[in-house]
Amino acid sequence: MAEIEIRGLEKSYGKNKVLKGIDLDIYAGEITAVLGPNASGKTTLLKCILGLVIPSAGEIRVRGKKVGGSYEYRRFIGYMPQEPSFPENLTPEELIRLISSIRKVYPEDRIKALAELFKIKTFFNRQVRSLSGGTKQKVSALIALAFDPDILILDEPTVGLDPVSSSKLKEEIIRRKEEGKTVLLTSHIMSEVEQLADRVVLLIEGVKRFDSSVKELKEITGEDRLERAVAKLMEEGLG
Amino acid sequence: MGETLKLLSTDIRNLIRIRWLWFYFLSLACGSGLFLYMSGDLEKVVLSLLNVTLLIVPLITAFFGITYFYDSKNFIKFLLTQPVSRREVFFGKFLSVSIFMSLLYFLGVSLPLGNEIIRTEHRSLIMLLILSGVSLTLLFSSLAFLVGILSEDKAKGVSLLLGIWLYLAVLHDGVILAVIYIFREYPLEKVVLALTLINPVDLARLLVILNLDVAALMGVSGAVVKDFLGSFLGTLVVLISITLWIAVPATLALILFERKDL
Amino acid sequence: MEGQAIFKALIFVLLLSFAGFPKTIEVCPACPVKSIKRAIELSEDGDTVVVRGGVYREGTLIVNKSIKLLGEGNPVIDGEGRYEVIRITADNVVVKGLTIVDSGRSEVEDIAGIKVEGAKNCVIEGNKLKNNFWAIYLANARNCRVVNNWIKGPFIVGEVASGNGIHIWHAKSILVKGNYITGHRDGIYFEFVEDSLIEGNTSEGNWRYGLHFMFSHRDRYVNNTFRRNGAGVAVMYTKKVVMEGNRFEENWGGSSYGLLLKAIDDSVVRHNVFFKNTTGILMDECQRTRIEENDFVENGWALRIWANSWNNVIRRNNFLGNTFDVATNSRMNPNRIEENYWSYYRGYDLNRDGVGDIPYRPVKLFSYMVENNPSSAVLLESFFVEVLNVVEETMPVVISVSVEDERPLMRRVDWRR
Repeated sequence: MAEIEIRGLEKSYGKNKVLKGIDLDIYAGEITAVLGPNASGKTTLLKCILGLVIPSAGEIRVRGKKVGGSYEYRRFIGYMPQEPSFPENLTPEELIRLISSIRKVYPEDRIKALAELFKIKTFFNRQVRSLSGGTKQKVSALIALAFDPDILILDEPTVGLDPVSSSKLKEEIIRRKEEGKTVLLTSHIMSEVEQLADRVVLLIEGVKRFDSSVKELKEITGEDRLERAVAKLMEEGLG
Repeated sequence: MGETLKLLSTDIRNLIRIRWLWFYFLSLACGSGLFLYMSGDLEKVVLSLLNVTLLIVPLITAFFGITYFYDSKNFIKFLLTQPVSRREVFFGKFLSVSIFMSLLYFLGVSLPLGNEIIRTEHRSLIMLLILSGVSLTLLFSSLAFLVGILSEDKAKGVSLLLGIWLYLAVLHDGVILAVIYIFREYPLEKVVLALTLINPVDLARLLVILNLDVAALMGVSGAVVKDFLGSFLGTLVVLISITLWIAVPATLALILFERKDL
Repeated sequence: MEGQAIFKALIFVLLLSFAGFPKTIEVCPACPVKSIKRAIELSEDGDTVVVRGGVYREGTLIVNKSIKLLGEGNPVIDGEGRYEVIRITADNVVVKGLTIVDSGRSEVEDIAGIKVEGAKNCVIEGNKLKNNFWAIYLANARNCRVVNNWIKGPFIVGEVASGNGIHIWHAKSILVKGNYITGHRDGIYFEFVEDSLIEGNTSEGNWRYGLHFMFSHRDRYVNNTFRRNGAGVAVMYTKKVVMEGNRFEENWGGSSYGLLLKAIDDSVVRHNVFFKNTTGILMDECQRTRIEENDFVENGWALRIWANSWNNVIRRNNFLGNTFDVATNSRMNPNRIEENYWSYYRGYDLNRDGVGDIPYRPVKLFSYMVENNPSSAVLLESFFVEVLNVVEETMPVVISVSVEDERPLMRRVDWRR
């Protein structure tokens, strides 16, 4: 059974249809990348899964539980937003304590390890206002990973990270996948997708245009670089 | 409930570190102290503080409330990706802002006047003033959250809220005066009383004024209003009115928030 | 004519020689004469009864001879809550230095501590009156002096519980001077009292009026203080009153006035101070009365003039920090308001003649509305009203209550010099 099942998902804001009937399954032990041009509905799709956006039609199940009723399913999810925005006057330490108290666990060892990994231990007691964008991003990654969630939803995870941290994060993501976790991410950086993704879902104007493994994609398009392959697909899709 | 408390306490930590809220507190405290220092007459002190309470306090509360809401929006979204309900997140945020602002007002007024509260016969008067100020703080926080949730656009939201403030704090009385003038041929006492009590700012003003010596200037109508407010029905109306003014916008805000796409 | 007078004098001398020389009778608990009543019986016109220290309970003492009743050593005459204490019916009576307490009370009779009925030339001086129903009561009196008495009523509110402190009815040429009155219904009450002088009295804390008179023409009120009386001072239906140098203070309450002038014509109110009254002066149906060189300080309304008052002159007064300077329910200005000093005046004086170059409009729109539509009073201290006042000051065109002082003074009138 898929970890996330999406059936007939539609979302419209007024007359503007953003998602036009998406069916999608996301499996454990796989990294699935959702790709698409700007305003294709990627973020809306993620928000629907997270329960931030309420679908106009269709349903989403996370580990068999329907999204929209209880919020408990979010316990299985670790999320990294595109741009983290934390209260300016709190410290990462306080933030982590808050999230831990909400999740009712305090994974001390994992937090230590991740802080070590991203080299942010020294920032733990500084107010968020004084942190750089990259550091905030690392804190965000730490929070997403620290509770060892079964599902990771990552919206442009490496944007704003320095190359070292970026590669560490990617390694971490791959490790989680190998542990059998489910990873769903969006990215504009094709090399990153190529590095990470096992499977690619292409959204164009709210419609799923393509859904297969990276290998298949390359075969179908006859391109051996993902970037070219996706570009080709998008052109076809748009045309 | 537990989650709400966790969110609330963390959020209050954040609020405590906002410098200009302390500036607001210090202004209130210095103002109260200065009024007291300049005029030994507690009536005049209360009257000056009343004007601050009716105008500035709602303005600051509304303005801060809505900007803080907009600034926290992304974090609210982030919180909602955690296993916590929208209701809990809403209450955490709303209560932290309204309680903290009320606390600042309470301390700002009561610290300089502490001696008068403890020692003088004006105790109940000052308590009434503080109660009015706290009620208005709660009300304008509640309006700020409602408008913040209604309007995605920050500029529009802030102007709408300031518009509401302007109406309640200033223009409504103009409407009353216009009604009195236009319908001067008719018996108006009850209509005017209703029009006045319907506005929480006027209600707060009357509650305090009627307990000051200046109330004598209101003559017979003052006596009528005082009798009414002092009666069981009047007390009930006041309590219901203030409770509704605080609860209705807050509840509406919660309902909208629970169904909103973020 | 002349012969008749000489004859009368002769008769008088003859009578005197029959009566013998004026004598003095002493009354005290250990004296031969132990009762005042007995002493009065023994006395004849012109005699003096000296009452020494002690408490006397003798019902009502009727003084029907022209005698002096002098207290020495603080004698107390007790009405035991049942009797009128002293009733004077003869002319030329002097009552001095007595302490008179606890007269009776009645729903039908005006029972007093000292009552003078139909007598002339009486002197009531330096007495203490405590807890009497009425304290000093003069009816049909002439040429009497009520001087330096100290009067403290029962401090009970209600028509049947306490009467007036100094109550004078149908009298002429009375001097009321230097008395202190508190705790009664009206401190000083006059009805049909003419050509009298009321000077240097203090009337405070009476539950109705500090001073209350009607139909009392040509009286002068000088240097009195009326303070914290329930309804202030109300004077009515009288012509040619002079009120000078009085203080009207802290008469505060929904229907309390520093000075309520009702149908007062051809009178003068000068050099008085009105301090912290709900209304300094209310003029109702007054004509040709001059309000000159008074200080109005921190009153709710300094001056309220109803539309039925005209031809009055309000001149050279100081209006200092009143909530409202002038209120009227009239759009006209049938009275002369000029050359006053207004602390709220924001005009300028380019030619430096001490008179502001633009008129001052003392009637604010809000106070006009309150006067005409009392229900607008609920907007007291509303910020909108403050805004309205500023608009009024900067754009007087908007408002059209035509009361104005065309020659507002730039500096306070120094009338005390």
